[in-house]
Amino acid sequence: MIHFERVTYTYPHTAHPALRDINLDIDEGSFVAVIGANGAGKSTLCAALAGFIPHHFRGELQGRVIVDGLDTATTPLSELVTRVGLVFQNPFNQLSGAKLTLAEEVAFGLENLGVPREEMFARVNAALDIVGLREFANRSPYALSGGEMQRVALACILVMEPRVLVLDEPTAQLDPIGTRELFHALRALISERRCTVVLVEQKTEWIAAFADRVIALHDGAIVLDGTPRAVLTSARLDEIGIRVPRYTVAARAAREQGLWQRELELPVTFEQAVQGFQTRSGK
Amino acid sequence: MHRSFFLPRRSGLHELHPLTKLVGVLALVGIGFLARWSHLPIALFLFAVLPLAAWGRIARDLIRVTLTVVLPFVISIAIVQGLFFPGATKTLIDFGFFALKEEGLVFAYGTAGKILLLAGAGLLLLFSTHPSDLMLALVQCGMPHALGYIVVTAIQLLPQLQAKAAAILDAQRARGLETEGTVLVRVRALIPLLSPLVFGALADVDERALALEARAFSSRRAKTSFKELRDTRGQAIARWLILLGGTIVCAIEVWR
Repeated sequence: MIHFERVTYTYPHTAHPALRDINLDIDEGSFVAVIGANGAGKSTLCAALAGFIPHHFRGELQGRVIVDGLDTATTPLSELVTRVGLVFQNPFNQLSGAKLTLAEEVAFGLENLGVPREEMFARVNAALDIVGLREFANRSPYALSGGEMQRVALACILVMEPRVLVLDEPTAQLDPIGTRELFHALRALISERRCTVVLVEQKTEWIAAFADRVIALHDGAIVLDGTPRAVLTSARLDEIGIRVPRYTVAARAAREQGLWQRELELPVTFEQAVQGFQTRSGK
Repeated sequence: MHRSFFLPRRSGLHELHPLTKLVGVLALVGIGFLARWSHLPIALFLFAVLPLAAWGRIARDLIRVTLTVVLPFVISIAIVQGLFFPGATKTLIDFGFFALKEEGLVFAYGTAGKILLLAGAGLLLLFSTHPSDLMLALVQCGMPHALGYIVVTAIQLLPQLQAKAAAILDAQRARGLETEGTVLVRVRALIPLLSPLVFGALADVDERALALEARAFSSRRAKTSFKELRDTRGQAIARWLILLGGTIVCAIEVWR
């Protein structure tokens, strides 16, 4: 579904590339989390994936990005948005600012794409259903909480029915409840629409519980790539500035005290931790 | 909390097509501004804008906001023009250094009337028209949609910018900034307010641009609309008549 071939990108007026020789293949329907410290190239990866590089950002791009069979460099951005949707960090800035109800706000992308009016209603309702905000369709988008607003932003992208969804730290400004609601909406999306999700996220506990695959970026290059349990328990995580899940930290401490079996893999989720500790006590 | 000027009410004024209202407002303002008779702007405000506002059930809000907007202007114009109108001779009150002159007050009255009419008529449109309806109507009659978007977001985002300004001011106050007292203190308080507000808004612009692109804003396909505007044949005819009549009256006033 997504194919990066030797992609190197340098922003204008900078000396060092923000992405270095990225080779990456992501399968349809997978939920991939991207982690990395500030400046590791996470947002740049998102921009390249959604075609904002090279269409919006200048600078030097080498290599190819193919999404859903389309080369992002040669496909116009307004065509790409129907294949790859991009959700940003700040929910407030993603609203058009020109609409007074949620339904109209969500329909904005369809209006721009020239979708016939009769077709819009069903698509708007379906998008609002996935994010669980159908009953708010006639409310003002500005009268919502941050978490609800971020789900509106998600619905605004979903309504264009992209097959790939890229989210750049969508929970950064959300509280735990907002974060949970967003993750549940993403899971619904994958199971109902077989969307491919690429999520940049700092909250490693959530990644561990939801993602199928985790990619760690450092200094513009992919340094770790594998299952959440393999990547998030890696000893290299501290080195590249990523917070280890608290369950892993707890089990590591327990292992030093002999309370966690050496041969047992470290946990990244609550369930894995519980299971691991129970194994030790022989239950 | 108001997020735009629009006041949702059920009324005949609200039901009108946005273009009908826009043309009406333009005609009122045009005639009021070009008329030689100095009482006309105020007469138009009292006998056209206010009855229309009453019909739209927004008269109370309209009067309140119009006066809030207009009064500071009127007072300052009256003082400046009353005291310093060039070539004025008829003294009303003599303060020694300055004298309040009749010609100045007459001029101030004319200007104040125009401001009152402009604010009142403009608010009549904004209070009774959903901003996205206005944009839609304008785009449908040939305005570039990007321009329509800019106009509407500017109107929509204004109250939000106000809320942001209030939040910044509170934050600065919490850090000991004095915002009350003499004029000098108040002016000084503007600096720590304006820089976060302006730079914050500029920083948002880039993200907003990306987010708009992500929603196919620059797509070249013919756009469609989720909302439908109700229009009638009668209104379409009325619009042309108002436009024609307004232009003729304006032309007569100019060339007379």
